[in-house]
Amino acid sequence: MEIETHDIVEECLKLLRHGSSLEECLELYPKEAAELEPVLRSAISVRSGLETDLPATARARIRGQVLTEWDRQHHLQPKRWDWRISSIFPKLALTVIRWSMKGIWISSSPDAPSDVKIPPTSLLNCRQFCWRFRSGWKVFSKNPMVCPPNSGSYPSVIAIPALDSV
Amino acid sequence: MPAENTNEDALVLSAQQGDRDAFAQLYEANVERVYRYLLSRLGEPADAEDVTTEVFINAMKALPSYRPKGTPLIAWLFRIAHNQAVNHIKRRARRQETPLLDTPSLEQAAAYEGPEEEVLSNIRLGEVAQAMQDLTDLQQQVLNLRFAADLSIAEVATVMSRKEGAVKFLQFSALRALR
Repeated sequence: MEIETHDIVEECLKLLRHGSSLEECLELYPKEAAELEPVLRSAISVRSGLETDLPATARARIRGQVLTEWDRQHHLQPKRWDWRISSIFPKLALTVIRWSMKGIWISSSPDAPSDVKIPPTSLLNCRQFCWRFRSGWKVFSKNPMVCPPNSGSYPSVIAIPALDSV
Repeated sequence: MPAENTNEDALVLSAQQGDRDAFAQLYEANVERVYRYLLSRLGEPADAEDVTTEVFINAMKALPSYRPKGTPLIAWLFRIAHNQAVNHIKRRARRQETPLLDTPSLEQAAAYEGPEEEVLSNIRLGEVAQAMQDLTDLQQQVLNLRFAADLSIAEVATVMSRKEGAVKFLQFSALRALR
């Protein structure tokens, strides 16, 4: 019974909202009228008690505050695409560094017949630092294929193509 | 209704892209209901006005992450409003400016100085608020959302994350308890 009544109450509230009178609603549900009437009267009282309009001055003041904050936010903060671009810069810089180091590693495999041949993959598979001197490439490496452990302090600094003299 | 939703979705999209006028239109369309809900929760017109401002500023800040195809805008706004109201009540309790009542007493409402119509509406609000104090939180929330904010049963169900049948039952049980 109660499950049905709460649906009826909602139907009556819709009718009242659209201009029907309480009596008209009750006529539609004569069996439930006795139970419905006090409930619907409560609903009418609650609605009239809670229907308090926002004063026009307050409405305008709140609007002004909100839009001032909007202006502040949109002038101080970069747009979203700016953030995306700025977040790309570190990644881009890292990629450029990686590629440039990769280029050094590859070029550290000398092509001249007297040079020591170091496969680029063995250089790529180890952590190392390479930099160029007038005499050639220098490699700072823990890779024993590049810097033998007995070649002094380990990891060692060696020069390419003068690797065989180390 | 779908046309209204489409228009609202378009406004939301424009506001997300930085259109100030679109956001102003969303404000105009919703401010009255948000204010009424907050007034019914907080009791004091000045508090309701302050929290209404906070709600729309928070909505503005969170707007880029809002997706129209998920929660309807009105439900999303009322979740913000509900959270802000709860925070405000906690802050007020911490400051111990007023006792832990969500609503003004009849004397407080009647003592409010303003135009006659405002005074009368505050007395009515005070009466309703006092009557609602004996209801459970859920019952109060349903009545506030239904009658102050003027949300449909479906919208209330979305805001409260409950089924429509449960909302109808809460509404009925609350109104029955008030008679």
